[in-house]
Amino acid sequence: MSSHENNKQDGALRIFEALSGVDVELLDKCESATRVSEASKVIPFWKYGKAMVACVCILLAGGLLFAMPRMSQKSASEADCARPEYAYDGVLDESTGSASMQESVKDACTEAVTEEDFVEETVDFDGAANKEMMQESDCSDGLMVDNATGCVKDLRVELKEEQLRGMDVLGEYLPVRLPAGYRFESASAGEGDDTETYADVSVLWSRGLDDIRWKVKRVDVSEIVCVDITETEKYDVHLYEIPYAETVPEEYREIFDGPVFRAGDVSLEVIERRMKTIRDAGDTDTPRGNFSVLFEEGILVEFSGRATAQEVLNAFDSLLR
Amino acid sequence: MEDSEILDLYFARKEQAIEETQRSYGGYCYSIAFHILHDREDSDECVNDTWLRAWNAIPPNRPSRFALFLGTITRNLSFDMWKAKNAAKRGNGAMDLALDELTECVPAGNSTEDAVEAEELKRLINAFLHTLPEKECSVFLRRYWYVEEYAEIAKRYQMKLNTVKTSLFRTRAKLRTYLEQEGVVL
Repeated sequence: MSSHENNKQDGALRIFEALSGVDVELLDKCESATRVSEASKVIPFWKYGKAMVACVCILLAGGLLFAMPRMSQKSASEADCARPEYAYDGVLDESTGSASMQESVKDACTEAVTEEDFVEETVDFDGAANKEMMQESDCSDGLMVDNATGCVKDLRVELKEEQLRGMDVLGEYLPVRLPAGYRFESASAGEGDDTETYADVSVLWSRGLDDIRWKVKRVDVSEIVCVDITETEKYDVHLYEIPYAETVPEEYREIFDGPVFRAGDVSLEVIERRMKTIRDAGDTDTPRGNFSVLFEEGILVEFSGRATAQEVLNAFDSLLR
Repeated sequence: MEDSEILDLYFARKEQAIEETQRSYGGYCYSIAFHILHDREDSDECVNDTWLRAWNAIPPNRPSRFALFLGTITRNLSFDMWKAKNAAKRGNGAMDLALDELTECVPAGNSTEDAVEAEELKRLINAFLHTLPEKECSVFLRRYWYVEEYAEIAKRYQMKLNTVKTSLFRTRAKLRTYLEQEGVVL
């Protein structure tokens, strides 16, 4: 064992020892903490209703102020109250008391959208997502606004389902097996430098309230940073509570929002760490999550959607590559 | 029997004090010892030593919180025994796991500086714990004072297992930041 590790262990021992001197008052509170009764788990509807009304009002106000441009910027991992599935976090299932539940619900609804966020996003014109924010009516049909260069051709090509399998290379990274009940919704492809080959293909399947978005794109492998799967704190959604913006350490935020795994690292355990069930009234219990997989031949597959971890793994296993 | 009555027996030097202490707090102290030692015989030994220490300490002490007084003695005795038995090796018991977790709290200090003294470290950790919300503090103490398992803590506070883990993860990070800001070297 290295001297550094020895020092760490010695430090841990000292901390453990120092805890013997903890104030009696703190231990007293610890001792007197009682289990919340089974009855208090049942949150009266009128309290639940108040939280819902408060959240709906805040959502409407936020929606009117910030509307569409902002919604396209939000990532799936943030508590975006414009998306109802993130209006409530997991504490709804814990007996922490109705008061704290109301507070956490309000916090989840109010803190995701701020004036500052809106200002930052509107001044940042880089990135394809920002192009979607532009006023399409400013350009003639078939064209979209690029604030830097004016009106440009919309480079995405709409595809039909039967065209997907025939796609050169990219089609081999589309799943043959999908969870039961999923149906094709839409697909598009982005043109690459060579107009005869697509840079990427994006497919959407849906099943009622559930959907799966699958994007395959060509990348420069040297430019992609993959997550070390042993460093679970960087990607395991079960380690943190929603809103992730408040619970995920700052140094992990970027990775946590969209981790990239090497193809050889993908396993049921890894996928389970990225899929989470969020219970929300009126919604399904299907786990949801997102991550990307990098194949060493220069293909990146981006998955985002709802399925069990086993179903997601089956989908990856069914690739024709 | 009430604590005050048991303490009166100590002051009257009646051996019945030990019997009553055993009856009231035997299970409590054994639980603390067993969480650390994971050995029945060693835990029994620590509990018996606790009664001896209490007998020697009372009087003149008259602890206002008798349970915590006894629990602290048991914890210290158990920890000393654990150190004596496990200094050279690391197993997979709850104590080892708890200590492994606490290594995350060790600040990255300059090794050429003097390590903080024990009493000062106690003061700082107390000050830190007082900054925490009550529940977060209780969860932390359940894990690192009582050395309870995650599942026990989750059941006690009606929390999800992952919520307990998340809470402890965050508190450990806060403690490390706090100790670094205080310039602590361990």
